[in-house]
This record gives sequence, C-alpha cells and structure tokens, in this order.
Amino acid sequence: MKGAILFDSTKCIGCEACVAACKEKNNLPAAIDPKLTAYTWTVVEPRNTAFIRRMCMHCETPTCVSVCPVQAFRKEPNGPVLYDASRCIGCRYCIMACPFGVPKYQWDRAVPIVQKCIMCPDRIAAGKAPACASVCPTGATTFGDRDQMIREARTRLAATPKKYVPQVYGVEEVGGTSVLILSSASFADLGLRTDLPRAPLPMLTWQVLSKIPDVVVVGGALLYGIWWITNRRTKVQEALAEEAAGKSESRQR
Amino acid sequence: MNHTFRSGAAWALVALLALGGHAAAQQLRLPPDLPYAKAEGSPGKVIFSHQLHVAVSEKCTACHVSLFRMLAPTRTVTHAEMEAGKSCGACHNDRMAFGPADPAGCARCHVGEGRSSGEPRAGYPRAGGRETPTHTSERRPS
Repeated sequence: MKGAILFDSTKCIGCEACVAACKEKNNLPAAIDPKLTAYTWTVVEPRNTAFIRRMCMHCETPTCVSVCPVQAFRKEPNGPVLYDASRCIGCRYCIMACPFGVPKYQWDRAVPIVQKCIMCPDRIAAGKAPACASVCPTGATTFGDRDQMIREARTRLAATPKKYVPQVYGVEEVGGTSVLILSSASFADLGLRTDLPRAPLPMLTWQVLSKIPDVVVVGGALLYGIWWITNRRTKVQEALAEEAAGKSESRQR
Repeated sequence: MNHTFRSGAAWALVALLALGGHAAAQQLRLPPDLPYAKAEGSPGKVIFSHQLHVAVSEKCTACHVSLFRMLAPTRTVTHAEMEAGKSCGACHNDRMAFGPADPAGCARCHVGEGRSSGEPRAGYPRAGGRETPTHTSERRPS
C-alpha cells in the first residue's frame, strides 16, 4: 500500500488539532510558529476564503532525494519521504531544491539538522493514520491508500461539483505527491504553486546529467585520438628530420 | 382541529429535521468524554467533555499540546497542579473560568459517575476576554 493524505480545505475549520498532534508525536516544542520551521512541521494557514495546511507533500519522485549528495533523504515505497540526520552534512541543497519550500534548517543550533514532516512512518507501519489525520475533528485531513484517496477525492468532486475546483492537487503536480488537496478556492488563492510541471522535477536535471558519462567517454576518446594523431605526426617528422640530418652528416664525412 | 394538529405536527417535524440538519453540519468528530481517576476525598469523578470546551476556544491548540497531550491523553489531574496554574488550572483559575475558589464550581467538574458532562449547563461562563466562536462549517477566516 502506498499511503497518502487527503486534505479537503472545504472541511477545515482551522482548529489546529493536526498541528498539536504533530507537535506531540514528534516531541516538538509546543509553541506554534506561524510558518513552517524546523520545530513546526505543519501549519494551518488562514487564506482569504479557506484554511490551507502546509506540510511536506511527500512527492512520488522527490527533488530533495535526488539532490542530496549523501542520500540523507529517501522515498519509502509506502509513501513517506524520510530524512536521516546522521548522514546529513548540512549542505541544504534540499532546502533550495524543494518546490514547496518544505525542509527547514535549525538555524538556532550549533550543530543544526534539516527538519520536515515525515508522515509518521511508525504509525503507518503499525496500520494507523499519521497523527494529524487521526485527530482531525472534521475529516478535513484523512489518510489511506493513494489510489483509494484519489478515487475518494474524485467521488467528492463528482458528488458536489459546484463546491470544488475541478482538480485534485497532487495527482500530477511534479509527477504526483502523497498529499492530495481539494479546495473550493483556486489553488493559487491558497498559496499553492500552479506553475509546476507535470513531470518529476529530477527529470529536468536528469536529462542533462544522464548524458554526462557519454560526453566524457566519447569526448575523452576523441581528444585522445586527436592527441595520438598529432603526437605521431610530430614523432614521424622528428624521425624524418633526424634521418635527414644523419644522412647529411655522413655525406660531410 | 385534528387537521390543525396534524399540520402543526408536520411543521414541527420539518423544523426538527431542519434543526437536526443544521446541528449535523456543526457536528465535530470529538474524542469521547474523558473520565479522570477519582482521588481520595474527591466529591465526585471528573469527566472531561470536549463538547463543552470546544465552544470556548476555536483552537484545539488552546489546551493541546502545551497543557494536555492528545495522542496519549493524561489520565490523572491533581488539584495541586490546578492551583499552580497548570493543567485545568490554566483556565479554571477563577479569572478566565470558574475555579477552585468558586463554591458552586466543585460540582461543575466533579460530576460523578453516570452523569453526562457533555450537556452545556445554563450560565456556563465564557473565557474572559476571548471571543466565543461558533463551529459551523460556514465559518471562514476573515
């Protein structure tokens, strides 16, 4: 099963139960920051017409995983994008690479690490919903199999088409995410990026990077060939010159 | 006469259904009432009601998670904690809400076994200085 969180912003009343549960589950300080920080992994943001949760979107093909030079991030087959602090060297490529601006750095610490929502992997492994989904009093945040959640979202769209923007955010964005969002307001109004490509972001760099070995091998062979030819040409010329010099010397004698 | 009664009953039914529908729209999936362990000399078991308390604060974070855990709820609260301004005493301190100094206050928390504490009682005080929000699905941030 590949788990996914479905957030229906039309049901959210902004009570922040999800935030509190997240704080408790992950032993984070109780103070709630207004934006995502290393100590607040999810927030409920009031927008013009609705509330929107901010959290890690748990991309199907995550950019943070692809850019990390030490493989501190990994995508689990059952949904979560996990982070291993013991591998992290603090380069913060992940922070620059994330299209949703999710990973946050512990700027206030002497030995900081990156922090973000990890979708409660132990709870998922135990067959439970992540902390946020388990406490939501309105059913705005729910958890289940990704395919089933997409079906559920489309059922809601079909049942009350007037209520929703006719799209499930996260099905195709950056190759799909494990957090799906339904909304009555336009996604842009909720502060969600609408300029993201349908293809996974790592594909952008992969198209270039995958050609580098070929360029190195073919280019190297080509340059070696040119060097070999010019080198041999000079050697032959030198040998000929020497031969000619030897002949003239013997003639002089 | 009979006809009037019937139409009256029909209207009452319609009104009841409408009210019921409205109430359903406000229904929150809240944890069940939390019974706390009864201490020696306690006048009655304290049974905490979420239903009663969500009317006071629109944010679950008013109590969670700084005062009470939510995934593994605290099963014991003490008067000592309360009087030190912790636990229930963070609000039930005789200023924000009725507290230990209010003689009528005891029975409001120490409801004892078998009583539902989920029914808002008349004269339930609102938290001082706070707005009293409504939990409707129509409520939207301003």
